[in-house]
Amino acid sequence: MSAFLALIRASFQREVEHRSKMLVRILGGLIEILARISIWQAVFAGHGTMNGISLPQMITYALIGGTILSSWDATMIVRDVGTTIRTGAIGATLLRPVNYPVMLLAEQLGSRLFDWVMTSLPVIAIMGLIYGVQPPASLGHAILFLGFLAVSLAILMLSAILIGLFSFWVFDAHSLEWFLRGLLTVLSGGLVPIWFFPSGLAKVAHVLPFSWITYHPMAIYLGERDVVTGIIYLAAGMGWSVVLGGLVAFVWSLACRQVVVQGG
Amino acid sequence: MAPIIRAENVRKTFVQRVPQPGVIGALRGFLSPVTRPVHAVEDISFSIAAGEAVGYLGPNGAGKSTMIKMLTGILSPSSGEVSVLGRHPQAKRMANARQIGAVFGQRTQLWWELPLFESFELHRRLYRMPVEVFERNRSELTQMMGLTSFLQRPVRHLSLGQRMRAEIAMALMHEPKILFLDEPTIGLDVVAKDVVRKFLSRINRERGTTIILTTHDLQDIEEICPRLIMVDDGRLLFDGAIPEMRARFGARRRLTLEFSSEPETVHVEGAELCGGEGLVREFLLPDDGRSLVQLLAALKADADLRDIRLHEPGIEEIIRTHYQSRPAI
Repeated sequence: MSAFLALIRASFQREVEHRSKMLVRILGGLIEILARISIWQAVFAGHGTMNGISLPQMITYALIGGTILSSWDATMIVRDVGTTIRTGAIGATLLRPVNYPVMLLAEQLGSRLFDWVMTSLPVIAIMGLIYGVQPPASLGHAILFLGFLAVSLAILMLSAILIGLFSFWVFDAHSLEWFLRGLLTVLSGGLVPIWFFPSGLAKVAHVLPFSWITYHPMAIYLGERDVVTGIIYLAAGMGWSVVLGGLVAFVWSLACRQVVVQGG
Repeated sequence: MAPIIRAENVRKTFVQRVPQPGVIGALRGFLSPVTRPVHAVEDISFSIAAGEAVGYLGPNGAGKSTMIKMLTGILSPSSGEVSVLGRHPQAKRMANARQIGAVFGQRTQLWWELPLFESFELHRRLYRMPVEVFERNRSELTQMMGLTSFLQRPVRHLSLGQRMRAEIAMALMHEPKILFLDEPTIGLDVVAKDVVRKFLSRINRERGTTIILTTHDLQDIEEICPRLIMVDDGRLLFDGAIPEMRARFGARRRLTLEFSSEPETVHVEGAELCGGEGLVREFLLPDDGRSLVQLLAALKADADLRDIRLHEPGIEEIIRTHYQSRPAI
């Protein structure tokens, strides 16, 4: 555990080293959120609510769902794994008494935490001041949301690591990255909440693990579900995390046999 | 003593895709790739006892790194068996990793963006070292390798020589029983090479750490490793001590004589004149172990001798002779 935490800290520190990136990222985040809010303002023009959702709720969804619950940057994991394998740097990792997916998870958590503190929070604060952000529906919903936040992180990281591990077989990680990016953007509900999906797709998206990344946590935050239903969903999300964790472990054990270290 | 590293009839074959010429060829290659086997290691056996220092030598592509990767648990052999400290290194990779140290000259194990001491700290946690043991080793290794002045600096700002010293120090931090080094002196200047060599040979002597080292630089081997394993084209060519290799590959000592005036006839019994002009004559000596005094006694010349030198063949010379004499592929 101490190694896990130390890796999280190291990766956080590593991000701090790239200070210059920070301003650019905040700026990028602001523009993206601005675009999302503008789209919802246009969609809601003249309507009070749509499918029972109000514009202020949708702005909050765009603001929080587009920052701390965003799936966009996490797909970088796939690229990282791909590079590690293509350049042969995986060898250096295998020399250590560490489990590669666990190490990867720790490192990604570190940079994600950094992102939350240095990008997401400033963007939420700035845009929230301009457009207003709703508080959680109740104290119970707020506490539950924290649980969902952990599940969201777990499912996002684990699916990215899972897809990333396929770089052992598919040498071009770029294609994998775009596959995951497209998949998650739609199915997480990050771009459009699943409320607005056509009913067939909505049914599928609702039960797939990806909707726990953005959609389910936001539905809880906004109070679209009562606390008891929320707890059931949280349990289901934890179940998915365990399944994905198992899959990662399984694919990793297959990959270990597949290792061809590049170069020299 | 029981060997701590054993390789028995080890082979490693990679499947390599053969690129097809032209667009049609590329398309066909995409649909049904043409592959060919590459035999990186072919039927190699050896065993190494605790405390030995062994040089693993061969030209580029001879399968040196592949062998090291099999011993460190990164790759598994296609057939045959490797055993390190009584374990199968790949099946028991984690347990193996705790007891070995490895330095791959062309790859870094340090955390690039972080100050050097942070890499050591992370290393301590990954290897679950007790703090006291770590502190003791860190201060000892830091001092021996002269790392103190740049411990606070991010690794990416270190020079190659500094980085390599840090890599080696880190690889020894958890007191490994075996240290694997894959071209540890590559790209280093003369001074840095010397520091690294002296340090490794001291670690081997004082701590009894077994050292396996691959290199292109034969001086690494002459200074660190009494034993040499030579491979070429995936096959074992030689395994033994350096003097044995001289005998085996027929490397001969060279005698250089310098006269005060140009001699008409020079003769050394049992030796073969091989060159020289003017005041100098050179002879190749058979491997008969004659001393300089005995050689002088066997010298017949009609001019006064001014200087005499006896030149022992270096491994480099021996190996160059060998590689040049093998059939071109």
